[in-house]
Amino acid sequence: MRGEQIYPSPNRVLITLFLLDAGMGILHLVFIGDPQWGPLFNLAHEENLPTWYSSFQFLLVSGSAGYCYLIEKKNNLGWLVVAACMLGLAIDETLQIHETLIDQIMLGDAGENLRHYFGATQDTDSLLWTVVFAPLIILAGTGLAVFYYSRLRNNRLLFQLSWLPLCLLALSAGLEYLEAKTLSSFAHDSMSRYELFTFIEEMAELIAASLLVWVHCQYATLKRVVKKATP
Amino acid sequence: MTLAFKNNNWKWVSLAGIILASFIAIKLSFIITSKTPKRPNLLLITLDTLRPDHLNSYGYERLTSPAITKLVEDSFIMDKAFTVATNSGPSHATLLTGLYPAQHGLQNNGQKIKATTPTLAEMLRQAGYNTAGFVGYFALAEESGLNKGFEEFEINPIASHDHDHKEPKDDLQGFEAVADWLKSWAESAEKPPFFIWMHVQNIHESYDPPAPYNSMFEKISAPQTLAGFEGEFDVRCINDLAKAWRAGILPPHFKDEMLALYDGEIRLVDDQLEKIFNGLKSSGNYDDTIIVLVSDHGEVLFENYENKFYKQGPGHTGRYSDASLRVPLILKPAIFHGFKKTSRISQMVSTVDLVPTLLDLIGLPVTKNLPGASLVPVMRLPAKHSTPKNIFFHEKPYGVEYTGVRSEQWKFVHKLEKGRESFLLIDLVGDPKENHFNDSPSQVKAFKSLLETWKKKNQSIHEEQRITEEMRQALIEGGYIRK
Repeated sequence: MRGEQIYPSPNRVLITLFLLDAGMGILHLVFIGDPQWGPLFNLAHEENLPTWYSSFQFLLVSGSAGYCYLIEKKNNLGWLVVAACMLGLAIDETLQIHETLIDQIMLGDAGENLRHYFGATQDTDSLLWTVVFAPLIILAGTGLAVFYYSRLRNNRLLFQLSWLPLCLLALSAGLEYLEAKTLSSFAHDSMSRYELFTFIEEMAELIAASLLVWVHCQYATLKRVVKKATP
Repeated sequence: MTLAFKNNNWKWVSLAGIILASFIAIKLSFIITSKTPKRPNLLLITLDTLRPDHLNSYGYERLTSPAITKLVEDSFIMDKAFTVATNSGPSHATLLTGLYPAQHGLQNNGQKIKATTPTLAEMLRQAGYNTAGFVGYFALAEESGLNKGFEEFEINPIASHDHDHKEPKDDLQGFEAVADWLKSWAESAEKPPFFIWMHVQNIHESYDPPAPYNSMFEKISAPQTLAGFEGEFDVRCINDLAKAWRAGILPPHFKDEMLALYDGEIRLVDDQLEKIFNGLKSSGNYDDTIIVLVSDHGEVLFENYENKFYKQGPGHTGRYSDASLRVPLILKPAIFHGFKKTSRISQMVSTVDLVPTLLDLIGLPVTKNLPGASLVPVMRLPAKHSTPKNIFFHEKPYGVEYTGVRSEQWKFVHKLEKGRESFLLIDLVGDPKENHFNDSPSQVKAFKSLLETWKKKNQSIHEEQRITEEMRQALIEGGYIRK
């Protein structure tokens, strides 16, 4: 009994993370017009509280996937891959690796061709990364979807909730492309639409990460129970 | 409960993901390695107060504009282009934003566009353009907000009302500034495409070009006394002309002299433009440059309007006859746009269509939020495409609000002055002199409804933004706004 208590309940973890997600959203909305505090809480900015929190969340996703690897004894290499991917995302959130890469790609003729094709302007280069890395994103998304299916298909709810964050991450990537289009457009309300898209996109990303942590924790808990019940 | 793909369908999901990723990767590699599209340069020339019917390319006989005629050989020329406002500030703001005055916020000279109103210059700067603006009129200076997006912005005002002390070079400094800018751009190592807005104030009243243009078409009388006129009458002074003409004491030969001076101003501008066009040609940039020549409004000269709805000429503000509303619009595309031939477009177009047309030609997205439409489809296939059947105009000069619509046959104007409404309905085809407001109730009802719908869709996006008191005084002194 004492041994069980050292594991936090997945539902409690999820509620805590959701509350933190909501807190990030509220701080963003409250301070968006504040020149002093706004940049610290703005979901659209980098190197601020939401970015560090998002990075922390992906670390949790990675850690929980690593824990699943330890719990599961067979066919568990996939969990290590998931853990590595999520660790990569956590590092990327803080170090903005994809932004640096896309800036390099957009420097030359390739960038001019991409901007022309997608109707974007120079100011939105960093938002076009979802287009440039779309093949990788699709492959990673497909891999994750198939892996979660292989591990979680026996539990309908868990399986469905493992795909929901993937859908939210896909939505987030799509919105990032829309943000580039919106900012490049010649419309009097483009800034307000950009802010709306950014808010939805960043919140979708936070919620997706929280759900993934829950899915991993829940899976690990179920596995532990099964292991314990198995003679 | 087991939830599973049937028959190893997960393999198909994997395969679908791989195929989709591969397809996108191939498509991206094609996009990235394709021939880099060229962005054309853009030279937007706004000729303040130029009537199209005083240009040779629009049928005028006196030789006012040989260089523009030559430009027209490579251009599309819009026979029926109309402005959205008869005041320079609102009209120019529309030319630079693609929005109606109530949308961009500059509804009268002495106001400014709202800080959040996007401009063509901002858009092109974001797309990597070098942007420079050269204006010759205070109401278009930085305080109007029309400098938004221009890396360089100069004002070279014309001393319109100072007839005896102005230096001839004053009239040319705007052209020289543009020519110098283009020269240094052509000589620079890196040449991102440019967007130049060149506003030309010379043709605007008072009509007083320097020699030789002041006597090019007519000998001009020296200032003199005039029967019934208080003080000395000077044909070069617009206030003297307007006063004498409206009092009915202006001898006919002065009308000819005034027209000769107006035409002299046009010829001066044409000669200066020729130098700029030749500069582009000699530096090899003419073919890659979109050149737009447009005016902000026309000018009522000595036309008589018996309906009494408009103030008499000379002038333009608040006068909604075609002499004031119709503008020249000449558009030379870049050679790589691949138009097989250029032509005259006989359909009605509005200056609100210019920004979407330019964005289309430059290859930037034209959003649905712009009220106008690109004219490129009409330019490519005029027989297949048509422009809207109604042209709308709206502004608030001197605190009076005018809203109007013009079709091929009708023109309907609503005037709101100190809470009092009045209307004008002109049958442009059958009886252009009379106001048919009282005898055509069905037309009036239809146009009122049309204007209401248009207003709901295109107005009140921005509140009015006033400029500083200092600038207001400068505009009053220049005669551009009233006290």
